Amino acid sequence: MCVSLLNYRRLFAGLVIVLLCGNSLFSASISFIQPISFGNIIASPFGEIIEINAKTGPATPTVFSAGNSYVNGGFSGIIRVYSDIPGQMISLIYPVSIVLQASGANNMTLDGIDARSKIFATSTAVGEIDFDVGGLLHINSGQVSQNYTATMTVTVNIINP
Amino acid sequence: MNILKKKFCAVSIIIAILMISTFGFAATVNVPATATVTAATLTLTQVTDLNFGNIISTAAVSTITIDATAGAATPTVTSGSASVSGGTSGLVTVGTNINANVTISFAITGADTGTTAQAIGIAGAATTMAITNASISTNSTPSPLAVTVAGPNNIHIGGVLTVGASQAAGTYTGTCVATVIY
Repeated sequence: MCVSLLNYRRLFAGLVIVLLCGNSLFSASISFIQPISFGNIIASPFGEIIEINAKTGPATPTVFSAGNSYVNGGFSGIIRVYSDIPGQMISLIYPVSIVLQASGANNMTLDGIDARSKIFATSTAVGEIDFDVGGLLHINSGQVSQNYTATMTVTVNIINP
Repeated sequence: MNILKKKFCAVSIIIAILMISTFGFAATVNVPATATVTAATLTLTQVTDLNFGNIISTAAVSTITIDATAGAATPTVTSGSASVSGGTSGLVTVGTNINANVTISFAITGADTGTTAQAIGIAGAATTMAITNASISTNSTPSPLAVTVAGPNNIHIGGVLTVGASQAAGTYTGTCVATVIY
């Protein structure tokens, strides 16, 4: 009876270990590959909206509103997820908005991110899946000439098959 | 008993694998976002004066017109019996770092008193000749003007000068302010 109980305990302990190791056995690696860059913008004094629409793939910035701003360069961001088992459902949750800051009180808002970014994929094989990241950059009236930066924190949820 | 243990073990492993297979997890990743903003600029440079040339007035009122709507032009007598020689349209160039449509407006002020609008005059005297802002707009590069980074972005300036009957001799001057709005 005692021997039998001991075996059950060992078995239970083994189960717990296997369960705890589950995530590391079947997981995915996530990394930021490329920042989102709105390039060099010559801004209309009346303000402007610049769009990167990366919903269906890599994209470059374009003038979204009807103004006369000019955009040169720039690209959508890339988040790379390495899926190590087929069938993983990967969903990304982007912030509603972030604020790009320059020196002083100068800033611009970036929003519309989830509507212009890849938000979901199901892995079909072991390998990398790239998620392109876009958004809408709101240039204020009289926006000061400066470099503006921010960091966007994206939550990646992965459900194993 | 041993068979039972083995069965239990096998079932447990299967259950464990099934449980593992339903697990998921979440993580966060930081993505930098950048933009470089340069404010749009417009720079106007006066290149050539608006010059109605040498006018010989007569006993009748005359008008001298420089029609620069299509480019540089010279004065012509459009009414009356005055005569004109020399003269040319004015030229202002626009430098910019952006392709855009700009609106152009003009306001001319005579030099005689410094406050006489829509006329040119003899400095220090009250003698003037009329030239309206509207006539300048009508006879200059049309507004809006599509300016480009590459250029050239030229604003040719003309107008209609009214020469009075037996207009007093002298050099009439004034200042025409060209305003370009993005």
